[in-house]
Amino acid sequence: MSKIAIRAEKLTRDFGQIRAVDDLSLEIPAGIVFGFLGPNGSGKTTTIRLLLGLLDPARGRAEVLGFDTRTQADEIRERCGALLEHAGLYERLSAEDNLELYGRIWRLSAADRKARTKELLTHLGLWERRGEKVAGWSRGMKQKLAVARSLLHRPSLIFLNEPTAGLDPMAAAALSDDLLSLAGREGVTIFLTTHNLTEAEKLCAQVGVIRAGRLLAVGHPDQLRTNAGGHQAVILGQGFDEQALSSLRERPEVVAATLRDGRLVIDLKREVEIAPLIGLLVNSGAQVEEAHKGKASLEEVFLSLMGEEK
Amino acid sequence: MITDLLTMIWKEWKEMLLQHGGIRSGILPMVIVPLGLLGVMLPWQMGRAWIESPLSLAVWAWMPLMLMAGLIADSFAGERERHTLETLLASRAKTPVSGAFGFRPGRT
Repeated sequence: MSKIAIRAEKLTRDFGQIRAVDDLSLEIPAGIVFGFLGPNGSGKTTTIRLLLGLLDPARGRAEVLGFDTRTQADEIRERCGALLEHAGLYERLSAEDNLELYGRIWRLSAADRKARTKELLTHLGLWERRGEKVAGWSRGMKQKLAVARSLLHRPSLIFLNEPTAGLDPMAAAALSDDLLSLAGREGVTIFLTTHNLTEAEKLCAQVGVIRAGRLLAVGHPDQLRTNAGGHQAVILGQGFDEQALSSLRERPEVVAATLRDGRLVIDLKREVEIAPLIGLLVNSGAQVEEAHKGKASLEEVFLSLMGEEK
Repeated sequence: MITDLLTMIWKEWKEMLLQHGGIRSGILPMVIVPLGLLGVMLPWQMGRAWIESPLSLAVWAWMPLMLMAGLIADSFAGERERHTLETLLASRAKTPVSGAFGFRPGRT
């Protein structure tokens, strides 16, 4: 298998006057979890459809597992699993029958279908309820079953379109853990789109940020935070008045100083000692109880990228 | 292609069976009622005319076509409506209808 799972070069797709994907170039190594982040309507789902060969690009090209999406789409779909916008389950069938159907579609032998169904449903905690109609299941259980279906034929690459959307935090965390453990065990490459940035930070070795069809940034979450200049100091205490904040903002190493949820957050240009800044605050009459340095979260990087593009 | 067709027939049969609550409570009445109507009631009412009239021939000739049309409409429009079509297209299956006509929705 190619060491690059996905390679896109200037991939572009229009729907009428709207450019859904704009000049997207991307390389994703095999065997990693790649997070594709972006607001609603930013082109994430269209990108997945293009990569699966369900849509043809207007311009540019893409290779998935070494196959061209325009001319070898069948080969790509044979080797990929997908959980798309909708779970795509047959609700009148039982969980076992849903997997049986896709096992037949993927041409697994009867013994393999049975063994694989048991293995995946057991791992996801659904084995005891395998005979129930899916229609009566919770959204979280349906999402788990859809994940099982996408892994059934042991694909090299799976596309997961917002797998935890609409789940409560506990169900989302449980599904994320399951994904991570399955990905590690099965050694698959995962292309994951999500709005959940904490989830992306936890799961993904690389993330890409897309807005209005354009890829704004790509890299390891840490790298993105560093590139975004995301060094911060967070200070807890009292008496952070406007005069104290103004004196902080005059310092050359300080980008911004803002009060958020009762905490003083100082955005820094680079990693610096914060003792002089604390001294400045204390001299201006503030009471400092706790201070620590850190990097901006992926969420803050994401919001800053979205802000820059407005 | 034949294997895919058989797989989809298996799925349709399973769905029909489960939707109507199994063979005894669902499928048998579905088969028995039309058979009773067309095979017993109407011949009894119409007598020899049921055999000699071209109308009866038309009824028997149209019935499979009407059943087929319903099934095709449900298996294609129904897949789309229940949001299962795209997942199916993203798999290695070519659905019988889309495969037969070389049609893939959304592809231009």
